[in-house]
Amino acid sequence: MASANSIVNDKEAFQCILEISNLLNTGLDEKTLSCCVRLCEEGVTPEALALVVKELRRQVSSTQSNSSINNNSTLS
Amino acid sequence: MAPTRGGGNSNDPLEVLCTCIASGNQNVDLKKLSKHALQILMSSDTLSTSNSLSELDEHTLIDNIKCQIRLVNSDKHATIFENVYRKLKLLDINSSSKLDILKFLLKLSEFSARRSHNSNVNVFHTNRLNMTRPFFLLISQWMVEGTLRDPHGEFFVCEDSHLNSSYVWEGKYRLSYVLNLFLTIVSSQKNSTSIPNSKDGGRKNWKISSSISKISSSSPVRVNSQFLDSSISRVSVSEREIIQDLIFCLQGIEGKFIKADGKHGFKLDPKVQVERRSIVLCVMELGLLYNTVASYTTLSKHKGFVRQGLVCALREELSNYYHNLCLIQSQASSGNTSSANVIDSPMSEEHLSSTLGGCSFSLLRLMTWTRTQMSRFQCLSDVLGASDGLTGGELISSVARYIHVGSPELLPCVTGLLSSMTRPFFLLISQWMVEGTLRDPHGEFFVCEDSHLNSSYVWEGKYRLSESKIPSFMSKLTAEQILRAGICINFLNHICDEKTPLAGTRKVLRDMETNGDLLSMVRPCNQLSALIESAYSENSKMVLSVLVKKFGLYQHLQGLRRYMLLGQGDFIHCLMKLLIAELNKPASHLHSAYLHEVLDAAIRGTNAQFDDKEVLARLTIKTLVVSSKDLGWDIFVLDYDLNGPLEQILRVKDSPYSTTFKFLWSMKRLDHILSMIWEKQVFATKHLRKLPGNETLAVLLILVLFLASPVRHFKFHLASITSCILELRSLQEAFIQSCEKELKRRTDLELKIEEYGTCEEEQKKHEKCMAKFRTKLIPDMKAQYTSITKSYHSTLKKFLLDLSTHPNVALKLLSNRLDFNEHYQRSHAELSECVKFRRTSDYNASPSASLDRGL
Repeated sequence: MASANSIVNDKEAFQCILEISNLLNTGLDEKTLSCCVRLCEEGVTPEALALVVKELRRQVSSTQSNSSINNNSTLS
Repeated sequence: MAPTRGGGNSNDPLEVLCTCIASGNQNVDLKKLSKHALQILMSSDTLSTSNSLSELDEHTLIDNIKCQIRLVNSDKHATIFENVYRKLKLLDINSSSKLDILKFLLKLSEFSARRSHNSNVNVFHTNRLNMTRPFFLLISQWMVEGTLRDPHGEFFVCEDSHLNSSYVWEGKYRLSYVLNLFLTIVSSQKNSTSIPNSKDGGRKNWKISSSISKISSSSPVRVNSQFLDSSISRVSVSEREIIQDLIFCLQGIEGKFIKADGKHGFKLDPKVQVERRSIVLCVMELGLLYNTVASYTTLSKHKGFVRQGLVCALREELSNYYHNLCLIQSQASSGNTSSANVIDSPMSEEHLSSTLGGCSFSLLRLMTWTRTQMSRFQCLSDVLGASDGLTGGELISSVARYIHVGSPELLPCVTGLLSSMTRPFFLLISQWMVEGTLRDPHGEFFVCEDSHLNSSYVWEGKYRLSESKIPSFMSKLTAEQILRAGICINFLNHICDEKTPLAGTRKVLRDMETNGDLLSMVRPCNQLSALIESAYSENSKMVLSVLVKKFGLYQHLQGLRRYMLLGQGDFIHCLMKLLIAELNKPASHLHSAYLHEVLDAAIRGTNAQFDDKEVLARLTIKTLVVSSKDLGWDIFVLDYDLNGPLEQILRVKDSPYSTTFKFLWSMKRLDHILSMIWEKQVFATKHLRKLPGNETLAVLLILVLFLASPVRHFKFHLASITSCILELRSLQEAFIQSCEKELKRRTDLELKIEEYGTCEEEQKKHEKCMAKFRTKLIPDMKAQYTSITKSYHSTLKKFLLDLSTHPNVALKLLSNRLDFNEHYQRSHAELSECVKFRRTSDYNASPSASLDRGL
């Protein structure tokens, strides 16, 4: 009973956090956010985590743009 | 809280995160990505201990989040956040992890907000490139030639034109706010510049500028576009900078982030993001208070010595404040120098704040210092608010109210103010009491002078107390003593031409003038009040002794009593006798020369001749203005011609003395008339006894006697009684005349009969005359007499009634004394009722009434 209760509790809490995340325009989807929450709970410093997310996004986007540039150059 | 969803097939949450972020992009090497993420985590773990966000308390964090939401969304969203957060709080979650998550979200939001700006800006960078060219020109001119050609103030190095060129290293050239925005962006992009402080001076500017030029030359487009757009984004400011700005603010100067709001207050730039915002705002309040106090001291319109005293005290307070502030600043800048050593080396913002964390001066310390200063300034500004527009004594009263402040820290502050304010006031008091002069150009003193009255009115109305200006802690009695003491000295100096030696208490007061104040008066029993009291009694004694010794006060008072108040009986009687014929004439026939002669004769003829020559010389006769039908009695007044200081005190000429004399003189006249009536009556009774067989006449005569005797006792100032007596006199005269005529006729007749005998005709005629006398004259006279008696009694009754019901106890007593044997009470029932009532009411009378009677 207690575990069921805590699950409901957790679900609600996550919804709240998701809402706050959206309000702050963080651009995190539900899945990514849940990962981040877990990492935070495991003791990762929040600032470092934010930095990680930022860096990862940058890298992903740079590879994407690189590939698009490559695509463009091959086209031309 | 357990994560609700696991990520893919891997258990490592970091890898899951990588896959989540990289989702939809097949080109990404997931392994490489997660390795990179791990690297970042490892490296930032070491930094994170000093990270600014990690120290945030919950409240500030929520504040910051709200700000961030406002920035990226709108106000409405901020309220939504509040609701959500409240909900979150109610749920049973580990609070530290909750805070961590929120911090993470906030940081991420800040990063992504900047990124989105950059990406937008990059699209338009080519257009903006042209706009930044002049800016580079400015930078290069400054660095190459060392000249500033910036007429519009666009450049981030700004010149303080008030300082001359010798201040090149200290403060002549400063960095402006614009640069800070610029640099914050640069440092947040992990470039190797750090934010300089305005105190660092020109040399460091140069260094920073050089590093900027490196950045600029490597990627000019990017930096400039960031610079132009930085005003939109938030700027986070380190603790050291905000302390520096706060120190400026505490001196009433605008800083980089803290701007004046135009109403003495300051506001924090809304774009500035700072830790412990509430503390910063709290410290900024002191800036407001400082401005309020400082602006008050610089106002030039302060009128009045007391207000100047207040301003002086405030300046003292401010200089004390500056001293403290100076210490604070030196402490703060000593913290700066330790970090200045590393400023050149490429460091991240985190590093900088970590060095500051170990430095000796922190925002919290600034706030602790501010606390004590704040309460003082709060108190001062309260005082200033309460005393606005008041001057002099009222101003002192308004400040004196604060002397009852409970805090032992504020008490010296208020007493200092009060002491400084009352010093000029004490000087006014002392000058007034010692010299008798008023030097009060601003009308602050509670003794005020009526300049319309000349100096002869010193005792009456020239100097008055203005009650509102008496300081609240000074008793009315003391204020009156001060007034009178000053009047005494003024009188001695200006009217008596008496040089008063500076001695006794006045000397003590004079000695205290240099640094005396009224602070001690706040206690009810104090030395100063006693001093004032003794000065007052000393001054009074001095005046009295001068008046008695030099001007013969007692002698003249005696003279006034004897002559103006008819104390010298023989003289007055003689004067009355000599003047009675003259004064019965119409007023216009009176000659003052003759009257003076009579006066001299009266003096010579009585004991008055042995009186003091000085007194007799002053005795003269005054005649009032004549109006038609006036008799001599109406205009004759004896006058006592005093001059000099005594006249100013006694005011014989227009005081009650002449009125009293006139009243007493008319009473004396009545007395005289009545005694004449009595005389004639006695004479007539004896004389007319020869009138035979006339009982009615005898009765009438006796009645007249009866009436005359009581009237003699009452010399009331009542016109009707006077007229009664005058009528009675004329009646008596007429009656006696006719009686004497009748008597003469009869004696003549008898003589005739003896000589010649009588005839029937003669006898008949005699009979007729006798009958006429008996039946006509006597009843006629009797009727007249009755009417006079009636009117006399009714007037008397009314008079006694009025007296006994009069509120003044002295007049009630008079009625009691007039009716000492209750004769009138027996004859007038109404009066006796009234008297009875009065007596019972007297027994129940209030203590004040009985006190009056006692006096």
